[in-house]
Amino acid sequence: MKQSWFFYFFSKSVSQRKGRVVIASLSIMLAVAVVTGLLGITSGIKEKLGSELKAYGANLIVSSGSGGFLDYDALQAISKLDGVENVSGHVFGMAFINNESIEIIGLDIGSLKETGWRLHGKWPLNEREILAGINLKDALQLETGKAVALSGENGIMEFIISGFLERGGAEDNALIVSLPHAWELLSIDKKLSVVLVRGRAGELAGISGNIEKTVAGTGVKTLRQVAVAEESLLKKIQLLLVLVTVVVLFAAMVSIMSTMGANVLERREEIGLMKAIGATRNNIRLFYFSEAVLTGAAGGAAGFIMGYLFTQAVSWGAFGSFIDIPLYLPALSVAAGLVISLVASHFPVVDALKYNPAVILREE
Amino acid sequence: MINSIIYEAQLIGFKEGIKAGLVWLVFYSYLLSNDRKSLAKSFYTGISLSLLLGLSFLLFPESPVSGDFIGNIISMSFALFLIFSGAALYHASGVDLFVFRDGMRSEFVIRTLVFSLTVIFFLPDFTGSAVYLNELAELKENTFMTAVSAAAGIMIAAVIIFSFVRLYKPFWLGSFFAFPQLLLFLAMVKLFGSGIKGISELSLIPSVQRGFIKFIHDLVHQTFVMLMVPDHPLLKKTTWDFIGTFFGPGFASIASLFILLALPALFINHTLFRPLPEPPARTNIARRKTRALMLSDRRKKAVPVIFFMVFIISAWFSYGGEKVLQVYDPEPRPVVADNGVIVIPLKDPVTDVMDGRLHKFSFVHEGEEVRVMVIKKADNSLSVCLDACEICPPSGYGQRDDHVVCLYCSTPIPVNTLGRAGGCNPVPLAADIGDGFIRIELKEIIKKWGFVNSGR
Amino acid sequence: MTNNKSFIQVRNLVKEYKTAYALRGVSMTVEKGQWINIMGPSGSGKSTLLNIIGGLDNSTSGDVIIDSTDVEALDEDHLAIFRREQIGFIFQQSHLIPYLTAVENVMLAQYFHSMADEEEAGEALKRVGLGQRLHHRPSQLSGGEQQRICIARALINSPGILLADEPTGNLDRDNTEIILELLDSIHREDHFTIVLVTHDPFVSKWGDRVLQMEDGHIVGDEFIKERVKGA
Repeated sequence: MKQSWFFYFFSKSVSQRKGRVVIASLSIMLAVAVVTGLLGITSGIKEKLGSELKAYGANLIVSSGSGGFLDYDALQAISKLDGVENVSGHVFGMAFINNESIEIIGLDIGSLKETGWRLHGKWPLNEREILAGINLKDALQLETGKAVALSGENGIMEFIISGFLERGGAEDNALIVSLPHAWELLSIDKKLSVVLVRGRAGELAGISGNIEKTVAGTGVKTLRQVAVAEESLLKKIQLLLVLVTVVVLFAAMVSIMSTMGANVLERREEIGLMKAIGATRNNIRLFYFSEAVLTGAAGGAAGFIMGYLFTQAVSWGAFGSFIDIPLYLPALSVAAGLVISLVASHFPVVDALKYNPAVILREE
Repeated sequence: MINSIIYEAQLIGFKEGIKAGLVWLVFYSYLLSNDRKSLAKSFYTGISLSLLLGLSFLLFPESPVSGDFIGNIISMSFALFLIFSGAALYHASGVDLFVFRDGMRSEFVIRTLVFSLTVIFFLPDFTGSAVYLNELAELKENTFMTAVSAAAGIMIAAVIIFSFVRLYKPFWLGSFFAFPQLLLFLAMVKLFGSGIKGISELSLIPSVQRGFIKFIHDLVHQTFVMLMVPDHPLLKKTTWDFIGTFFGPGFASIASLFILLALPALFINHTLFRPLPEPPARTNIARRKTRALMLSDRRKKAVPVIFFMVFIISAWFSYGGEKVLQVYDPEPRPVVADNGVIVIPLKDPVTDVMDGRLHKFSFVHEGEEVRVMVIKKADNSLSVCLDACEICPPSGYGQRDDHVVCLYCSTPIPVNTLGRAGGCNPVPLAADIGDGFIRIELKEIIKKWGFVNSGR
Repeated sequence: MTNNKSFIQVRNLVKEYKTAYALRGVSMTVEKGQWINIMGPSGSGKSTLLNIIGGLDNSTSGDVIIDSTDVEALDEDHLAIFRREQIGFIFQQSHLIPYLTAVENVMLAQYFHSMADEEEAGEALKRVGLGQRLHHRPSQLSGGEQQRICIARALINSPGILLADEPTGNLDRDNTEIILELLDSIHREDHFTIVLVTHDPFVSKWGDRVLQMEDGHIVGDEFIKERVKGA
């Protein structure tokens, strides 16, 4: 005796039309993946973007207009300008540990203490101590208090890691060294890649004008501009994602509707017969909505996995780190799958309920 | 400020109203589907009596019973209903026979039973809420407004329930409940709706967990005490770490989830998976029909139970789990003795010892760190103790909600019992509290700390 | 039984389609346990009459009362319940679910009625002579065998009435005879009422009574004195 006749009958009926059910699930999967990706990325990006910009507390960024280096003296000159509250010079470059290329950020390490980065370990005290981004800890198997050999332009130099910095940005993959060390490693003579400036609020336009006048050949951007640019880019991405979502959702709905419609049409005879032998409308609804639930749940779950991977891929590409997705997202994805599937099935099922069995059963 | 209190009083009234309304709705539907509508009178008598008695507590500015006491009664009545429902399930064997079978009990007994169940159910809740309302009123010295807002809350709930019933006539609910299910429903309402502090304490789940922790702890410790064996020095720290996991938070939280789910699981097994009794029937068709009816009936009766299980699991995750379990262990603040007296300010820019959290202070005496802990109790008095007990090595205590927990043996001690001496309790210190400072004689601390340490 | 004399009562039944009338005021009564054959050329309205009696179709006006239930007054779900309790259908096409076996097709009718019972469904198939074919799919069976599954399915819930719409229309003479003999022998045992629609005079030899229809009217009503003997 079959324990549950309904499930037996249902599974037989579904396995008759495996292909159709799989295709319907796939279209739901695509739709849910896009929705999941959209939510995951937007919730993650906002946080990331904010931290990227706020990390240094700067509001102006000065770089060489030609793309090369700035003179170190420029730092001094800028710091003396009216309205400038704080300056910090950064130099970027590459060095090698065991033939692996590592990004080097040279800066005044003392200035980092005010930025709120998380430090695992100690701030450098001695001359040969440096910091490493947290991601390098496992990647290169570094430990605090252990020496590393860095090979740069001037041959090999030994340093000791005093701690690991964590910020969730690109710095997590870099070595943070003092400016003199960076100059030595990169074999450049007292140059800077950029100068970050904190100017008095409200006077940024004037200050940036002064900087450009004082230090010839520099380009000054406010971080606000950078932020606005990035934000508007983000908005465009979001808009694009929303549009894609709408289109994909619509496509998924249509696909489910046509699959379910074809299903119902194909099985007119079956529906008519079920009515003739005493099926109530609820019996028939149960049957078809069960299929919708199955399709929706399967598609939703698969869609979540796809969307999650997509989100992390995008985040890795854009920020070099992964995003923590909100906890409700998996539940939301499955729920979205169910809603799409049930809504799209609704109309064909209502149609099915309207069939007149007397007419259907007499058809050849 | 006054607004937020009125708002909270309203919420409490609303919560009690919704609770009573829901219980009424389900009970009344149950009676309708069992054709015992006349029993509703006993229910109304019971709930009115509970309401009156409960409200009478509002008249005492100094409540004769403490919130803690009522909290315990509520937990006990929760357990009572849970046990009742298990017993009823066992007794009923899948068919609704228990109390309401015709001729099994006299009408008077049934009426009395309904009446007393109603009182047992509602009286602790109403009293608890009244006592809490009293506290609120005292805080702002506005008893009248508090009472009015609570009454308004009840009215809002009544209107919502009334219009819901008028609109949807949800009396079909009755077909989902047999008597054991009804009792289980009451237990669940207790579990989720019986905290006495407005909506901030919607669930009893944390207290179930703590009760469990305490139970296992007592089981272990009291056994040693009974045997007159000094357990703490006898067993090593590692052993205690191991034993500690059993009355530690992780174990308790999982165990409490299982305990909460055990009865519903029993229900499910009972209602869904037991083989159907063979109905007496003349024909195959009649037999099939009867069996189908029985099947659909027991499926219906499983619906509320499954609903509860989902509820328990989700509430366990949101109320219980990690939140209940984290132990707050603050860094001690260094203090120095001044003329042989340790002086701790009640409030300075950095800390406020009256904030309800655990505070520790330390000084160095003869090269050894001595720690004192201070925490506010529910009655707004301060408890000043050593950060050590008489039996454990002085690892100190951490705070978990309204308990302090021994960091050595994981023993939980309710904050409100602090001040008791002996056993696992932190050693109480005589302190002079007044004009903004706590003053403790250095001699007192040294003597007791020395005693604590000489125990080994 | 008080209603013995008029188990099915049809009064002034009219069915009007957009362009034509299918039934133009049909009245008749059928006694409990009677086997009545409705004969007539195609388009005479005999199938429409059958469908309205079975609650598969609505009339334009008139009453159908079966065992003191006014069928026309029932809503769709109550009609479904009425059908599964009271009526078994057999159609010209077998209308079996292709992916279910013979016994499962019978179980489907049990499921909608109350619950599936494989043993009982197997017994019913043995009764129509398909004991060896329980787990065959319809496509593995001949037309006659398929129609026998339909008989088992229609009768599995002990309905008061069996409605058959050209049940032998797709069968040859030999199979027609087998099916009707089978129906006859079951009818002798269980005494349900049969309303059978056919255009084939050969079929009308079975049964107690023959009703002639033409153009939406009943034009003849005769009782057969001697039934064709089965055994």
